[in-house]
Amino acid sequence: MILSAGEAKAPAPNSHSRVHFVYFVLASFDILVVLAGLLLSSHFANVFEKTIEYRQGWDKIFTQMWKIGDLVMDTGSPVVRMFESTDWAAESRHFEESLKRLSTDVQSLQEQLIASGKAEEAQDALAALHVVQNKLKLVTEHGRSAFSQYRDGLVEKAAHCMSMTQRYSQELKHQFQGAMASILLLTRNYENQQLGHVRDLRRYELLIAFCVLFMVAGVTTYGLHIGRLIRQKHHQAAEAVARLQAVNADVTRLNQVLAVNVKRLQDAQEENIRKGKLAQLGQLTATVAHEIRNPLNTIRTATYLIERKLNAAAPELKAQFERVSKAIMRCDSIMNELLDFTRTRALQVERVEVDTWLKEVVKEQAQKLPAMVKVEFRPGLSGIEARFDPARMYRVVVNFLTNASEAMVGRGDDPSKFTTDRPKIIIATNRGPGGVEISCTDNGPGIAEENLKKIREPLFTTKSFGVGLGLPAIDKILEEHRGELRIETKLGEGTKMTAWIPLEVDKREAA
Amino acid sequence: MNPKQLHILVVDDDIDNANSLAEIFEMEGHVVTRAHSGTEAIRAYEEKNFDIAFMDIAMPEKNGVESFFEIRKFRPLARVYMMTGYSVEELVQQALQNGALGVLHKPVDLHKVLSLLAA
Repeated sequence: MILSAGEAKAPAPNSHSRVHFVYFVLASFDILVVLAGLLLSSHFANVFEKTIEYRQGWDKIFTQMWKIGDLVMDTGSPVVRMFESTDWAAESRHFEESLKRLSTDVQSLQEQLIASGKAEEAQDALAALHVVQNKLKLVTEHGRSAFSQYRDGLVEKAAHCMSMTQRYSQELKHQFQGAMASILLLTRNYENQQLGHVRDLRRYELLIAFCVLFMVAGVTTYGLHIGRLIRQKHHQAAEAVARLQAVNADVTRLNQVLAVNVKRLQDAQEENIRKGKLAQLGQLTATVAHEIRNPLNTIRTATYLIERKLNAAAPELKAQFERVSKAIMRCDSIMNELLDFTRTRALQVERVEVDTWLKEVVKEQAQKLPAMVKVEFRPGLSGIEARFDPARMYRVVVNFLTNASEAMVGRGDDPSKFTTDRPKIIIATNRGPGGVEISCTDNGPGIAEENLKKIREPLFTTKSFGVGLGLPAIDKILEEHRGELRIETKLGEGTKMTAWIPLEVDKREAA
Repeated sequence: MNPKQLHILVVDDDIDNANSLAEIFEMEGHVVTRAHSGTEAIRAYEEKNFDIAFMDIAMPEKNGVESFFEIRKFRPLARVYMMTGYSVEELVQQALQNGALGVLHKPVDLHKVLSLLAA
């Protein structure tokens, strides 16, 4: 047995684990990116916090410095005011107080810087403050001597000391401003440093954004790919199912074909056995027919002789002679029936003009039927020739006529068995599909439904005489011609039997 | 005496058959010679010609058709009817194609036979 359908393609293995792997990778990447994002934001917060803390760390110091800055502005001014003032002692007190406060404040600032642990980064400022202290000493020194000179009335010297005081006071201011500037620079630098840090982090932010975009694009693309893959798989599965169904259908069909072939084989086997039996039976029948016909011939000729010799002397014997003659003919017809059915020799096909041939056969056979049966021939082939074995087809026609006639009037000698008032048989010819038809129509009683199948079986008969091989013989002869027998019948109206044979009989049969 | 008296040869290995047919012809006033095999039939023809012959086909040794063919060799105009108890179509066809007048199927219709003589 050959299965035409191809094998269904197996789906690619491990495709599921591959999908899992890719999703695992994407998910891990996802988590990494999220973690990186969190880390980055914590970095930002850190920088921000540090910056604020740093600034706050300097805030007190700045406040102190602004205060000191104010004091620094007028360290020398009481000395100047001394020349215009009436109360130089008050100015001197004022000078001493302000210097003392300044000195305390600067010292406290120095201590604060050191205490806050910023000494190292603020060493410039501290150095400047140190110079401020020195300058403060010089201002104090010169201021005091200015006040003492002025008290002693040494105005000129006092003025000189005043200008020295002013000079150092200016220097002190400068130094302090330098210290302030250095601390300001310090915080500015720190802020700039943190700003650079933030800029660096910004770059990471961009990288993470790229990663997120990449991931989203990756997930989308892979999702689309997987979707397509799933659709494809689905399609493949549907195709495989369809193919499977086709294969199933194929197998079912082949099984049916097989069953049919097995049945045919069985039939052929049975047919062979039947043919073998028939061949044997045919041989036997032919021998018996020959052996019986010789004595039958003797009886016939002898009876004829006796009849001729006694005819005038004993006219009452005429009926007896007729009976003998009929009995002989019955024996003969039984022989014919047997020979028709059992004959197995090959057909002797000739080209025959059907109508002309059939007209002769019908005319000859009609004379042998009981006189009350009317026979009509209706040719319809207008000179068409067919190839068949005339001797065999002759038997078909004889059987048609005999069957029809016997169905209507039996053997014609017993009116109680007549079934038809005006028995009539029509033999007609027609062009059938691909062949010729010879039909025999009677107006007899028709065939009962239950007998219709049986009449084709050998040895079935509804008559009180006959072997029951008439129709089977017709069937067999037509079958040998690759033709067929059709029977149409209606109870009470009659029966039409049609023999169809192809125009050309198969050469194998004719061989 | 039959004015149309014929010399007839009846050939049949079945002696009763041959005799009963011969007697019918004799009753009709013809002269009948009987033969019971193909060889006898040929010998009979060698001795004299017949107006008509009725020859059985199925006979042991030499069958009727073979005998007819041999007779035809030296009596090409021999008028012979073949007789047969069953259809031996091939032989019948051969005989008819080679000059046999016809075939009579046993049991023979005697009216037909006698009408053949009259023809």
